Amino acid sequence: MNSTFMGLSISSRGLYSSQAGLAVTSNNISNVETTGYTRQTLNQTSLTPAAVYAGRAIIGAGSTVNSVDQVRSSLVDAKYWRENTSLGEWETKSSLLTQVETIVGDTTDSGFSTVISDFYDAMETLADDASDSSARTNLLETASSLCSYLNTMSTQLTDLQNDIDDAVKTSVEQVNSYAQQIADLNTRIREAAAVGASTNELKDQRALLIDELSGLVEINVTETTTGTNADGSDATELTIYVDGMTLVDNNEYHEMECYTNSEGLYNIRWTDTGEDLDPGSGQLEGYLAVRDGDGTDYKGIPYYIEQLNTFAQTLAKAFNEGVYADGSTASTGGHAAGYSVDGTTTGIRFFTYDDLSTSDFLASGADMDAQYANITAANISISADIQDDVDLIAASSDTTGEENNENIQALITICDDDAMFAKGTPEDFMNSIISSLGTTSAYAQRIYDNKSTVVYNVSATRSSISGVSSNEETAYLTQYQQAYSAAANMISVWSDIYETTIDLLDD
Amino acid sequence: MRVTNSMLSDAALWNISKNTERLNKVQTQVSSQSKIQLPSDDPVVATRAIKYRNYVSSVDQYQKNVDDATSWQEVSDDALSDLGDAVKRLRELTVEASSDALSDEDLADIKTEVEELKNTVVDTLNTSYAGRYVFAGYATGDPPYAIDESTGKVTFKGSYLSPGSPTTTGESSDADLISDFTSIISAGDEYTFTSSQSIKYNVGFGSKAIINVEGQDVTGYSSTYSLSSNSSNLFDTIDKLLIGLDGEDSYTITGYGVQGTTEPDYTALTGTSFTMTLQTLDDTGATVNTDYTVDCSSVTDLESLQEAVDAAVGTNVVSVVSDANSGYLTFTAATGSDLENITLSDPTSGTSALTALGSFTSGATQTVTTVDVSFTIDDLLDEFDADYNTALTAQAALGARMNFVDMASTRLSNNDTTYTELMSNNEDVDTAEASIALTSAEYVYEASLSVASNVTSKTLVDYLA
Repeated sequence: MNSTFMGLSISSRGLYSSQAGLAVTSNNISNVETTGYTRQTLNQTSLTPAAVYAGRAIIGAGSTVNSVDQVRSSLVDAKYWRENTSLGEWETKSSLLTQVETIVGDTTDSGFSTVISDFYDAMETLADDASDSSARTNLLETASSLCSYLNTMSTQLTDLQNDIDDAVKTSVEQVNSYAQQIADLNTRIREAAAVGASTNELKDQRALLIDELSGLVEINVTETTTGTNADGSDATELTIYVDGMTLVDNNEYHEMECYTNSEGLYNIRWTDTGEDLDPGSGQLEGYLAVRDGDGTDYKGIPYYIEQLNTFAQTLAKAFNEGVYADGSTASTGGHAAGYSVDGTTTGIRFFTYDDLSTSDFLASGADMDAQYANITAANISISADIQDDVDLIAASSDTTGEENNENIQALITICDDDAMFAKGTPEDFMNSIISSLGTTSAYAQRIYDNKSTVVYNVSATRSSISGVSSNEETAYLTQYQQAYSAAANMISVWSDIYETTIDLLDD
Repeated sequence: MRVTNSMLSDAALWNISKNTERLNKVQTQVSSQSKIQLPSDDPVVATRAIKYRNYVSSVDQYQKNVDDATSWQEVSDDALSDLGDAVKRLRELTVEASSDALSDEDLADIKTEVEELKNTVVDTLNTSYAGRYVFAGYATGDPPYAIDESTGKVTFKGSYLSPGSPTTTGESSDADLISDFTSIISAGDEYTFTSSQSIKYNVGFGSKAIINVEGQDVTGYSSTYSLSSNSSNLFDTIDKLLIGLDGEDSYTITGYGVQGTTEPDYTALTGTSFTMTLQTLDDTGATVNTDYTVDCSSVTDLESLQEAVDAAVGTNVVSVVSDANSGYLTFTAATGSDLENITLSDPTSGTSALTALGSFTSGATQTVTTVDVSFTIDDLLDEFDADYNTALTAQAALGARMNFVDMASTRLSNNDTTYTELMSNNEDVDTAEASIALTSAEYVYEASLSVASNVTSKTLVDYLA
């Protein structure tokens, strides 16, 4: 025997379910443009018949709302995080290398080719008139420009390196902050789940934070089921690993910190264990690769600074002494072998560092190698002797007269000698630096382009799964609205039925 | 596939951003007229750009060098033409002066002109270009040629071109001449040619041109050691002409040589021989003595004695000079020879030749001595011809260098065109191509904007109720 008011109870359940459906739909529509929002669906099931029944016909008890679920694919999430890490790394690399290019690159008229050409032209002009003091002054000026060009490049590279170093610290702080927030959210999710409250919005916030975190470091996210919540859903714990160590372990998190290494730059380690960590990929890896790349693993700023130093040292040594990069010697002894305009002074070094005079420069090291090892792109300069008196520029090969241009001609030959650098003339060497920089940067940009397409596609897939479609929601809206009307109509029908029944009783 | 609102807007934004990127790149190319802004835009273009710019800049500089070289050479060439004219005029005056029909006044007039011409020659050789004396080798700061006021000797770059230059016979005692000569030599004031001081300009890739002509190549210079009458330079010839115009028929020159003390007896020489030891310097500067035996069997006069000496030691090594007044013989280094010392001695056996030659002491080495040389003004014509030839040879060499520079100039302007074109092809934007690319990028960009504006304009909501 069925319950008398069973029909009313079924219908009212229908009303509740439709209302819940309308609420979920409204919520979805309201959040159609909310970042990180995951569409929610109504977990609605039909209610099993009451245990007490009569006859053969078993009538269901209507519908019920079990839960409001998120539509999320952990597979796509994991893929997104992985690709986003890679994107973060290459985006950082390509943007930083573009900055290196604007410093070192030579595509403008004020670049290296102009500076070195001016220097060569000044040597030629001096060779045309070795006795002309204006030609000598011109050579001093263009050579000073060459030096300050190298100084500026090197300083700018070091500045950029320091800027990146600051960025490393900021990123580490960000990672810590994300880790803390995620751990907090984990706690709140667990607490909410324990009392059967909704965790959907908290999970959205957490996923958004993990998205951000994945751009910074390479992470490995695992979610393990630890039990069952009060409402019957799975109780889970979320753990995030970085470089094999747990960054976030459910409600706990482990901080990382920066410490200054021997080069005055930041290294990263775990605060509690003191163990160094390797970010693996992500923005942090991009920063570290460009900041520390000395050419062995990656061609970063130290590599280019080192190349510029080699350039400065080799040019100075060849020009001053006629000794080339590989130790071979030019046909003449360079600037030091020449004579001043009055033929009295010889042995003057043209290039020194920090504006040292020839004698101070020679005193700076035990032998030639030690002296030239002091020269860097950042400190190369013209010797104080020549800055004070351009007549000391050794254009002459001996004491025969002021128009003797044999030594300046020999210097021109040295500067044009393929043997000066292992890789050729000064331009050839600079060319190889620019070429390797251009290629590395172009490669980073290409990978960045690829990765952003990949991330875009994964993101589209995620959006396809978890995003809100207003058309779909509108359809649901209509559907639930209709269902609600139908349920309401059913109540009215049952009402009529009861009225009839009651009327029968009255009569 | 399920398409959501955010997918639509993301896709629209993504495409707009890609198209903006492309538009930006093409726009930058068009407005900068440069294919690349950073090396990474195209590393190959970037590295080539440096190479080509360097080429173009080098060619520009070489062209400047060529202009400078040409000006310098033209100034030198003009000066050498003027010098040639002066030497020709000197020769004309020599011809005029050698005529018998001249009065003393005529000769005095000629002498005035010759003295004037000597100054002209010095001034011409002191020609400067942009404050630099073109014939001075490397020492361009000071006029190279000067006439010593007291002695009348010509100096080149502060050194005497001809320390034992011709003087009027009998004007100064031989002892004075020897003392003057010795003091010049001991002070190292004689001009010695060590190595050429060629000023070289770069006039092309790996191509150098010598732009200057050195004074000593134009006027010639006298060997320090020679007493030979034909060892001479332009100024010596002018001095000889001036001596001749004073009515003298001999001049005295000073230098190193071994001199006899009596007149030679050529008849007594028949069948004799003597030993001549010549001292030279080897590469390390050490002295090397070599003995030669001069066979006098067929010597009958000065000429045949010279032949016998040449036969023994080679031509243009040792000159035999006979003093015009005393008739004594002097053995001296020939013009251009690099002898340090000459020693004469008798052979270990046989008749003494040295006594017959003029009472030479056996083993006598050369000393500073004077020789009187008799001459007529006529004789100077050959010398002026030789001097003119020397100057002309220098000018011809200069002409060849000018041609070289000229050819270098043509080659450079070709290079300039080629490399400028290469540079431009490499890094400059092809405007037509870039404009089309720009139009296309703009079109695509606008299309993506228009699509985006319509993307979510309509939803199902619009069609409800």
